[in-house]
Amino acid sequence: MTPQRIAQIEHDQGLDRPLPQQFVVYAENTLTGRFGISFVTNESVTTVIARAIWPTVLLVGSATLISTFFGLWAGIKGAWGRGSLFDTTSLFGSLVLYSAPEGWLGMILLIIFVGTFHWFPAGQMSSNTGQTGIANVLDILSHLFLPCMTLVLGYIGEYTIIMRSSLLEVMGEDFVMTARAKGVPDRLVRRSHAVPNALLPTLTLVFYSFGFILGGSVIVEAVFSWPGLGLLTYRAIQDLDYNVIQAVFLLFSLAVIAFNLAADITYGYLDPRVREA
Amino acid sequence: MSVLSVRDLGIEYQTTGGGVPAVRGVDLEVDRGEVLGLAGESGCGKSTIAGAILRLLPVKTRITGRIELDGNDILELTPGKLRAVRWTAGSIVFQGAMHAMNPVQRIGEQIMEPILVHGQSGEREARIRAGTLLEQVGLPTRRLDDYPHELSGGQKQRIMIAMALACSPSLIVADEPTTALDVMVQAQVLQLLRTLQHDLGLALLFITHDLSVLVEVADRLAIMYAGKIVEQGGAEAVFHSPAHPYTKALAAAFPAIGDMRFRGRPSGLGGDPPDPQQIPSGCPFHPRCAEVTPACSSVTPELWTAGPARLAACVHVSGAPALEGVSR
Amino acid sequence: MMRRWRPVALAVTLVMVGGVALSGSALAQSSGTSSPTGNKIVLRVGVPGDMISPNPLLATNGDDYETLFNAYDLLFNFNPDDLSPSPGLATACNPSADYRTWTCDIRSGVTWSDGQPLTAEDIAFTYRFIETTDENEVFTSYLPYHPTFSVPNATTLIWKSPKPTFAPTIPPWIPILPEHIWKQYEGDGKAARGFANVPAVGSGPFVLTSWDKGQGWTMEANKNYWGGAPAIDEIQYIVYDSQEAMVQALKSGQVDFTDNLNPTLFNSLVGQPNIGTVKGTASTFTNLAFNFGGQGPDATNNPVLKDLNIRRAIAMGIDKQSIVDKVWQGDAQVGSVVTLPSRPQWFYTPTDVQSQAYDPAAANTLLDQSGYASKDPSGIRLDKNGQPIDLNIITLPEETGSVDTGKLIAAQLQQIGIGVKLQSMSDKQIENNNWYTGDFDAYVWGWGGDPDPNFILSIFITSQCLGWSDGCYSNPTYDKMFAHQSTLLDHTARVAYIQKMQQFIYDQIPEIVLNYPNYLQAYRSDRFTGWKPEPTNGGTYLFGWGNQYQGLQPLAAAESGSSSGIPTVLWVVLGLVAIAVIAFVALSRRRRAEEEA
Ligand SMILES: Nc1ncnc2c1ncn2[C@@H]1O[C@H](COP(=O)(O)OP(=O)(O)O)[C@@H](O)[C@H]1O
Ligand code: SF4
Ligand SMILES: [Mg+2]
Repeated sequence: MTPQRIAQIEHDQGLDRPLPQQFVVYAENTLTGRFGISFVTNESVTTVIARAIWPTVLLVGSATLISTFFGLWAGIKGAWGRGSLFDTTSLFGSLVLYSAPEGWLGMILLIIFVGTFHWFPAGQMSSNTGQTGIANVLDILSHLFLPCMTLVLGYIGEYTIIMRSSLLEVMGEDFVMTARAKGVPDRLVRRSHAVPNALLPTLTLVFYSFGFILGGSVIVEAVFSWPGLGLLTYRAIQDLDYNVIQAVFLLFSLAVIAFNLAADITYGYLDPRVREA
Repeated sequence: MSVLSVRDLGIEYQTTGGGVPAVRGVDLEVDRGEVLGLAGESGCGKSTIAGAILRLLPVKTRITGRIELDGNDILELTPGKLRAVRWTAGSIVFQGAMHAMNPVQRIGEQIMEPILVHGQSGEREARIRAGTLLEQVGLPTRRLDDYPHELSGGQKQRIMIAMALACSPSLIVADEPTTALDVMVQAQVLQLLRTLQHDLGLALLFITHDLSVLVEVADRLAIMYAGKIVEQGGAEAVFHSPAHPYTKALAAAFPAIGDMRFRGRPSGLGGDPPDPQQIPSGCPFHPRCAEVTPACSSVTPELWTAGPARLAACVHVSGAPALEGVSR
Repeated sequence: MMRRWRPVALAVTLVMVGGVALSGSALAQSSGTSSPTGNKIVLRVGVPGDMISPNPLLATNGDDYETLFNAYDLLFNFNPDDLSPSPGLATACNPSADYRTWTCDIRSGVTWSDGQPLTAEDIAFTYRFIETTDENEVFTSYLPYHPTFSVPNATTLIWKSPKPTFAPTIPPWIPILPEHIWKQYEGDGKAARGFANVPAVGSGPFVLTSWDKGQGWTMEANKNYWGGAPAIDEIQYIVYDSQEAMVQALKSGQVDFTDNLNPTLFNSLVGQPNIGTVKGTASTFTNLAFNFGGQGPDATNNPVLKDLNIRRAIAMGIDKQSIVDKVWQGDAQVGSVVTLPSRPQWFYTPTDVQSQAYDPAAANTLLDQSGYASKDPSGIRLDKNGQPIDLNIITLPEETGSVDTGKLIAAQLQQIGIGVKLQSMSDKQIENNNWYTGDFDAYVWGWGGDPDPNFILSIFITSQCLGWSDGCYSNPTYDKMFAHQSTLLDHTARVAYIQKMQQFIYDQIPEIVLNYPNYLQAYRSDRFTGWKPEPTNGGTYLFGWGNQYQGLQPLAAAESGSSSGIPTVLWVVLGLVAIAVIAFVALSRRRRAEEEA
């Protein structure tokens, strides 16, 4: 590369302008949704991100749904049967999973389910064999399985623990005693009194933890070459693709803010005390 | 015929720090249309008895003796039967209405819940009944759609009372129903309870640590100390001429509302009630008793006769066996 | 009860499920457009990184080059035995007596993949296009002295050089581009680099048909290839960001070949059923390249490195064998010169290897005697201005072995009183920043390079500063030597002179050649046969020197079509989930019934 060529690149990117001016330009571009060009692929950052957004929604969305569902279920069952075999094993499992790094979990799943049993694809999002329709959906599902499971395993423990302790706390509340005194069957006490109250803090935490799942998706997507925002971030950081990094981080921040907002709104909706305040 | 009959009830909570004998051999009897007042300092085991009546204590708790509620041998019931008896044979107005209601459920649903659970009527009738109950406790029907946090303390307590009435139980246990309320509201709620009891002919076990409240409501009084009944008798008699030194101290601590005699004499009770795990030998009250005798730390007083229809567990009462150094 | 929260929870769930379903179906639609597989014979190649671009003007990494090798022809191909030029689009190029005019015979009857004829005009166009449009100078060094090209007829190309040259026989590694596609970009480097080139019109044995960025790319056989139709129908290159995943994919048969493995994973594959391993010996070298400054005002090179005694002491202070053992687990050879052992006609053993053998004591003595005897309290030597000698060495995590090598070097140089600060960054980060500003003292990287040493020798000349030069090394004597070798038209004379140049570089140490690492690959031995190593001795099976795919013949497993349908286990899992749900519902029904009894 000649010095002239370098100067030209610097000029194209606006890097030869004074820093304050570069900042004003950056702020203006960001606010108007112009994120520039990826240094690596020479495409517009918007295109790069648009391509990566749905895979991440699919992965993070399904992982969140599954881990929330089973995490809450295990937490409820554990707390309700406190000290039971289910409770002790699920609590132990949760603590182990909670402390296990996602990358490591992914490797383990890879070695078991791909290397040993040959059951699932090791990476990517589809087999690229040109199948259509239901076959294609199933193909994507089979690719989704391992990265999704990794994220689920990475977060289910946390949700189980939160739900369990939250429910245990609620179970000691007077209104649970009232319900039992009324002769309400256990199942209903749990469903209409204990769980709805225990869900409030838990769901909020689930929403708040969304940021962490996004963070976890960076590692998991890199392990499984899942073509979402996480992989994009991973590669952009490696390649110092500043425009992409800036845009992705902005997007992540917006997503986290949106989810915190959603948490507040949901809480307000679920809890009449907050709703009116 | 008695609605509630408690015989030699013993209750020991199981904790990691060992057993906590909260109730130690209690007999109680509540007849139809009768109000029995159960009084005693905080921690003496009143709520424990209330809980035992509907078997609401922690599963591990060791319970001995016999509780008969409306003909049901409570301690022997199968879980299914027990649920059927709860709230229909006896209901509880819990201590601290503040927390006794589900904060995210509408009041109407909470009142209707036992009616529906026990299959006493369909949804529509249950709602009508809930409205009637609200009116009975002096609240407008539209309050059915409120959430608990939208009510004042007194209103909440009224709701709790309405809730307790929902299945027309034979017995209502009111555990400190007025404790958290300010004086004016306390009086109103008390008035309400009295009216309802009278109008509906309720059997009521009224629990409080405030003796002066009881004297206005109760037919008979039972005074409890450290897991035992220490005095029992007609309400007026027990309150105005207590036989047991503990009852005397209690009566002195809470002047009757508007009773000029108690002005300027708030002679309380020194010291704290004993830890159930370390109950003093002999008369458990002896370390705090104003009339203690040398015999009190070795002799365990039983409920001896202390006059007509009066019982008291003190060496000073007339029915007590003669003991050295004890004057009557 | 709780009439309120259930609809809300339901709504939240519905929205999320809806989002997930929507994204799923959006993806299903977007990736389900090509035609069904049928019984195509597909070779699936796992690669550790994506192409950077299939546009030749942006060609950077091995994947780009492999794709270009398949998609395009060069003037000459490489003879697999010794990588000497062999007939490609040109069957021969003959020089005039003064070596200024070369006349090349171009193959007739060749067509582009879109059916247009390929003639000598296309070749002349391509070379002119490189002259005018290759602003990044990817290929310009293959066309020295600004030659001109003429085409007397469709099968003849005339290369005229102002000075005597043997450039056509190097041969130029420039993919021949179709004039009818690229003409519009001539002279406009920016527009030319902006051209996606997917699908690519080429004349090579395979046609690049699609590139799913970040996931991989597909090449289909060019059944009209002048060298004969390939036996396989399609190549799928599949990107694995994690090597572990790539290896597991090979074990489970999801890929047929994996490129560029690290030694640990490679060794874990040796002896596995149905898996073969290939060790390409010495197709690259790793180096510790010093920075001599001159990039610009921001260069931070430590001037002490300009002292040859320092560089010699560093060379003696590094235990290359320990790097072979610890970093490469034995899968490398100790390095010496900038040509490669796999190119025996050029490889050279220096006369005085002993002078740079690992000897920390001798290195310490040399430094003591060269004026660096005094040390600071931590044992780091002081330079002649009394400053401790601390070198800022960059390592590249993406480059296998670089980071670990850097750590070993840092520890070893500590023993001779030279301090090292290590800094890790990606190759793109270096190119975007440190390399062109000169903000480093040395880096641990490496070179591959052409079969002919012309290119690798060129990187040490002064004018390559901010070109291909590692650290702007500059030595007028060497510049003259390089210019001289370009004029040596007699092969034997040139070989002898190039040995002299290698000795010069070895003695002057503009960089230390650390190792010649093995190039590690693995493949499914049950799916294809006919692998062709290039070079024949010690070469790799793919990512070599072109034309390695045509000889591949499918074995029974590959004939029956690829196994990449829906794994039956997915059905099993779905079935189990369904059963679990049904059982759960049934059980809770029964429990409820019991409770109410
Ligand atoms: N769940 C429990 N576990 C252990 N000890 C308890 C429990 N509940 C109450 N106690 C103890 O039993 C005694 C009686 O308590 P309680 O019946 O609530 O008294 P009261 O209602 O008269 O204030 C107290 O010493 C209290 O600390
Ligand atoms: S027995 Fe003794 S200690 Fe107990 S109340 Fe009577 S006088 Fe007091
Ligand atoms: Mg109490």
